[in-house]
Amino acid sequence: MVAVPLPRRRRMSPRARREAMEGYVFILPWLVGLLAFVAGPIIASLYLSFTDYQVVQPPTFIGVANYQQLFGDGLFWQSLKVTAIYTVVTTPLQLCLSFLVALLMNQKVRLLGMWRTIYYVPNLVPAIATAMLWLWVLNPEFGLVNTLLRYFGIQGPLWLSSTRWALFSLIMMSLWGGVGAPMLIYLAGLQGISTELYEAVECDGGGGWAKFRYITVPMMTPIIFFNLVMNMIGALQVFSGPYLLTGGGPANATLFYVLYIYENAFQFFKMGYASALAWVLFIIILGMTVLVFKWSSMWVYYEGELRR
Amino acid sequence: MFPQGTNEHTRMTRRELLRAAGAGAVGLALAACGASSSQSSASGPGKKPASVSGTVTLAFYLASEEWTKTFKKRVVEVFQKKQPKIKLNVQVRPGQDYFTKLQTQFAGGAGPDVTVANMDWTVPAASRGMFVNVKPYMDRDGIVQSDYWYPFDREWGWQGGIYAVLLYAGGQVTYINKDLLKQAGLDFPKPDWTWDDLVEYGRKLTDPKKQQWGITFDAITPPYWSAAFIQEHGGSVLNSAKDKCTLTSPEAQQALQFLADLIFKHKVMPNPSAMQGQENPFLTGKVGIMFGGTWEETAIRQSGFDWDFAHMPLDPQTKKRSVQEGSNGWAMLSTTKNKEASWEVMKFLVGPDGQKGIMTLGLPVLKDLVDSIEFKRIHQPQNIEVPVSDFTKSGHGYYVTPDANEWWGKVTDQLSPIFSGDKTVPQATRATCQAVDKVFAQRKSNNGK
Repeated sequence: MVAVPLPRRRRMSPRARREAMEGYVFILPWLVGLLAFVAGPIIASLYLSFTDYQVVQPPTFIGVANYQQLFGDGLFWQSLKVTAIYTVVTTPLQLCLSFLVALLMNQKVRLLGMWRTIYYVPNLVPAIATAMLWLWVLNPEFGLVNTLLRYFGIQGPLWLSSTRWALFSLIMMSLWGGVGAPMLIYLAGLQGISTELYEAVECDGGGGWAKFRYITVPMMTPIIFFNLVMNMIGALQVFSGPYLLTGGGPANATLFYVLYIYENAFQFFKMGYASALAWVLFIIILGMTVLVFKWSSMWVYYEGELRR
Repeated sequence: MFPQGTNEHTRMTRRELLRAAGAGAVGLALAACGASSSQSSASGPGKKPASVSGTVTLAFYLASEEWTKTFKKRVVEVFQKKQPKIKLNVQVRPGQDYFTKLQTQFAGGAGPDVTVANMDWTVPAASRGMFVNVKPYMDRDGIVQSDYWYPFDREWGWQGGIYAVLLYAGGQVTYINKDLLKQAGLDFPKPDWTWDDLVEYGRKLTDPKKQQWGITFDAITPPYWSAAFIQEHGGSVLNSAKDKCTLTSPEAQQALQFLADLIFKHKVMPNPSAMQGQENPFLTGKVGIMFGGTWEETAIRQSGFDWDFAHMPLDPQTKKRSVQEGSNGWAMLSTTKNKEASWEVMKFLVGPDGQKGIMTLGLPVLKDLVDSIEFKRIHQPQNIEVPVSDFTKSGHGYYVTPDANEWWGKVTDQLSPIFSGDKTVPQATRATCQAVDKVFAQRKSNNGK
């Protein structure tokens, strides 16, 4: 037998070592932050989900009782229903609207910078200011929406106070604030599409629709996919709007899942139960994300790769 | 609902979320270095009042920025002169989420020694060991109920203990805009006016062309102002054992129907949802009668129109009067290492000097002070004796239980569809009692474990 010498590991040069060291120093704050403020609480919450933890008393281990309790808790199902409706309605609406706006913002029109800013600004408005603004817009007596409806002889509803309209009001609000960010990402994607592809369609006699159908949409599918995942996760975790505007009411009509977690954790002294709720949400989000990823292989096209 | 309180299920206060979040972060940092400990911890008081040895610094939390300046000047400075060995490190933690921050600080062992206490969360937290039972201290040092017009245990008592001392009392007041009354040619309501008279006043004061309303409530659902109407009509929110919702009783339902009728039938009151995000219309002189809180007096005083307090109208059938009242308090956290020093501060605050100091901020709870000319003079030309008389003769406390923080929110949430017209009174009260009784059932099952 001939002994095959193992390849000798090349020693790092002093300069490479220093650069690696500098790299670690640069990422250290994020690593420490991740371990101390994210990973630590995540692990702790997993343990707490198996305890009766009332915040002001030490936790006591109760096994899977919190998870068992979930199934018999009507408010758990109600919060799940509200969040599901919101996600199913807002996610496609936000995706389509922001795509449409991005297409408009990709045209060569005057004052383009101003239009782009106008559409993006709602994203920069703090949640508290957005909530106040919509409180005014949806005020049944003096609000903009009902005032406009009155011009057409329609008596508008009590929006945020109505069991029928409160969730719809929050959906409407989400469209105003949720279009800017995906629009910007779409816009970047649109500008990355090679003009040669459009010219090829023109050579084949295709018009505007053909360009959109056969070039723009397929080339944008990775961006659509990214926005779909981000918007879906964001919708499942929505909190500030319902917390500030409706508090989950009226009659639990806007009891979103994360709001219910918050109530249990910080208002009802049920941190253990809230932790179990949080882990169930994590599993739901993980499951849905995996499903969307699997589904994406059927319609997402990555340029330079074979269609999967 | 009270100015130092943090319950406020109203939507307006949710605006403070971000500010509160920021304040919470700063609070955690400050609290970590706020408290000092130079005394040994004791589980209860000794038989004789203990003297504080050495200098002690106490972390002392308030929730209201508005009255901190007055409080520091009229109370803290006086206390420091009397007790130079006990330094008060007064910290203000404004915002809706005061208790969220307080409980997390407590859990982290970094809470204050003494905090302002709110009815919503004090007994629920005390029942879980967060606050010290101060009854033994009160008994030892001769703080006796007979000197006070407001019951010690109404909002702060649980299983024979008392978990906060009274700061001040407050509650529901009937405010009348006398200028609007004059314009409508109406006399000031008589002390024995009834709900029927209230509707009549409402009709005559309502003028849709001027966007003027007869009546408004600043918080309509129980445990706030509608509870008074329910109680006058012979109903209640909970049974006397405080373990069953009684809003489905005919008396409670009839009283709630009367209030709904003010909006939908008599059209003398704006829908509460129309008031969201708006300035209180009573302050802008657009409402004749307001069922509001005692703490709104300062703002009304600055509004520029002529006004006064009226008695709560009587139920025409039962001839009963009831007003919803409540209080704020001072509580000692069980993590304090300075129990005797903390008690010294609390004793001062509930005593004559402390009560005199807060006299401009709320209703003092000492009998001598609330009846004093000095107190009446603060409120002139309005007649503070009217609400004081209602409070002392017909006051009804809040329904405080160890799970009040949970079921109060359900009552507000489930009853609100009555006032938006989405549900009938029987539908809404049924849903409310189902939700509330479920909380009580859970309490019983937990206690049984």
